[in-house]
Amino acid sequence: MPLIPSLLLSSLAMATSPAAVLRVVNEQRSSGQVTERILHLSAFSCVLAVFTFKAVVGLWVFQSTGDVLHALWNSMIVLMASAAIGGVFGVAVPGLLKKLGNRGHDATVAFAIAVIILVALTHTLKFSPVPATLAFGLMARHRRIALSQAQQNFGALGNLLTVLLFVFMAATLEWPMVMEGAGLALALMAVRFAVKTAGVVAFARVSGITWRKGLLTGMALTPLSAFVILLLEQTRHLGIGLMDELAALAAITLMLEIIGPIVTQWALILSNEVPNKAET
Amino acid sequence: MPLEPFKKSDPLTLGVELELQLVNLSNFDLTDASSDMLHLLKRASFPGNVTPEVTESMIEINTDIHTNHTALLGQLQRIRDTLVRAGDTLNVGVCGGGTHPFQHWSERKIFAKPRFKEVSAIYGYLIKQFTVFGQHIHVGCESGDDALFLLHALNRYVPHFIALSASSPYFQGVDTQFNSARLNSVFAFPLSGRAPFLLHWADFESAYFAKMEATGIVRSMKDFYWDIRPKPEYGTIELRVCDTPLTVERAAALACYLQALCRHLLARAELPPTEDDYLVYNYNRFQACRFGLDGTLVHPKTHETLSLREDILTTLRHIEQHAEALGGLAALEHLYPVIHEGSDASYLRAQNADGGSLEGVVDAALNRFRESSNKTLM
Repeated sequence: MPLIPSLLLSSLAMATSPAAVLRVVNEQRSSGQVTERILHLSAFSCVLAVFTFKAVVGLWVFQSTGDVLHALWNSMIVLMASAAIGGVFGVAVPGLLKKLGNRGHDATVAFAIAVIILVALTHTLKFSPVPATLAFGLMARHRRIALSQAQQNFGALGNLLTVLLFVFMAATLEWPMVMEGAGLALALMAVRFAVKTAGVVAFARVSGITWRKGLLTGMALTPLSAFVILLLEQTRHLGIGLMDELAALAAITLMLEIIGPIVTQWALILSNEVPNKAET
Repeated sequence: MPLEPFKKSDPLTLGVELELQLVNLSNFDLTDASSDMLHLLKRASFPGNVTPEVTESMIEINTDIHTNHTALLGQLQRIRDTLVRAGDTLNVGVCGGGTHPFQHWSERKIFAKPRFKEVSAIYGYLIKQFTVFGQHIHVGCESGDDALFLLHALNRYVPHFIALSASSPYFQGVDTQFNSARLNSVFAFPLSGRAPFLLHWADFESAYFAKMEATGIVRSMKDFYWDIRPKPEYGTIELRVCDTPLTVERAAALACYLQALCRHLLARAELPPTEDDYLVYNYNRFQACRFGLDGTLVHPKTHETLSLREDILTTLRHIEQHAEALGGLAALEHLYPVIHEGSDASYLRAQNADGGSLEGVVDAALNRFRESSNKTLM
């Protein structure tokens, strides 16, 4: 496989699905270091995946056209503009909530609507919704303009959207393509699992947890983020021939949509962060 | 197992235990982090002692035995700094406060330790409801008789400690209108309340404990959830009514107030305690929990009605010489402004009025615990 497509594929494989992880965490009501870390790591991995992906796309545009400006526009500018829009939302939405005197009330719906508007806006402007929403979340949480209650995963609305996401993903995939990419997908999954686990385990002790919890954290990061398909779709207009990667990704996404959350659930149970059924 | 003999210890020595909250920094709810915290803390030496508490969202620390305010405060500050550092590594917030303002008790997890599983089996949901955070102060006693004398002589002063430490106005997401809602959770236990009126250790041992043990209800002193209980294996009495304050400075000041008060009581200058003192005990205790420093007391001997605030102020002035003798004047200096400006409960309510959410209240408690070394709070 040529260099650029393999770089694109590996950058996409970095992303762990925040939606899947959050879904499992909420369902299992788990809490502890493994839970805490997979929530943060899945968000970080998505940021890094988008960043790397855009950088590789920039590299590809530069290689094929020799136009630095065009290359930069497609990578760095898009990323920064998207993040900036998200950042503005992150200040404006809590600020508005505070001003409206909506204090102490559940702000889940307000945040959910803000996310929808943000995605629509960035999508229309041909920016990237992923860094925008992530920047929004980071800003809203850490600037602490208004501390208000919002349910993880947007509660019932989030559950509904997760189902829609699953249906959407399955609908975009084509079976012949899945079968075709299965071999590459399996190899990629194995490497991805090994690298993620090894990476997290290596820093487990230094960051204050046991080797065991490190191992379980690495395992729990298995679900692949569905947004990789979206990224590829978005890149289509640039004319990158990504059929091979798409086949493998289709296969890997399908497999990990099903296997990923189960692995995460096992990891959380093994780490004793899920409440004992007999006790509750 | 019969009650062990009362171990003689140096009179008026002090030890402090604090139950602290472990908070998720994303949503400010409690988080089940005690096993992870304990694992990390065990790697390096800890300036004191740290142990698990009954649910995974609590951690308990205790100091060594101290004789004066400076040393006690110094150790508490070192403990606080170590905890805050460990919390930073794991992204876990550590704070004081008698209750978490909006946690849901049903989401708590019992810490995996046989005794906790056992009490959970006996008391059921009461134990998860018991995810409340108290300060326990041990005072060394020379003999069992001294311990029982102090225990009962202190009955009239128990509301002082409730009002001064009160830091649990919110419970399960609502303002309870109490200043210490935590003590209501303690009162649900069948063996809570106050110790029987016995002034001699021999009587306590044979006429009370042995009989209670024979009924099969209790096996050790640990089964009693009294406001003040003797701890024969340490040779101390343990005052258990205080909410964990928002700062370790307040915790040290409360401990040294108790120490000076005990020195005053041991001088036997007041009328000796009697069974009838307890006629007003629960009423006074309620006043302190409900209204804090604004409460009123009925004096057990004279039956006159007193303002709790005034009574504390008078007592502080009265025992100043004892505090001075023990090197604890700084503790009283810390408490005087509290009487005027209000307890931690008032502080937390002010934060809610200001920031507008209970998440903001927890955030303020986290910052106050962390930054309490700031001079303005001393």
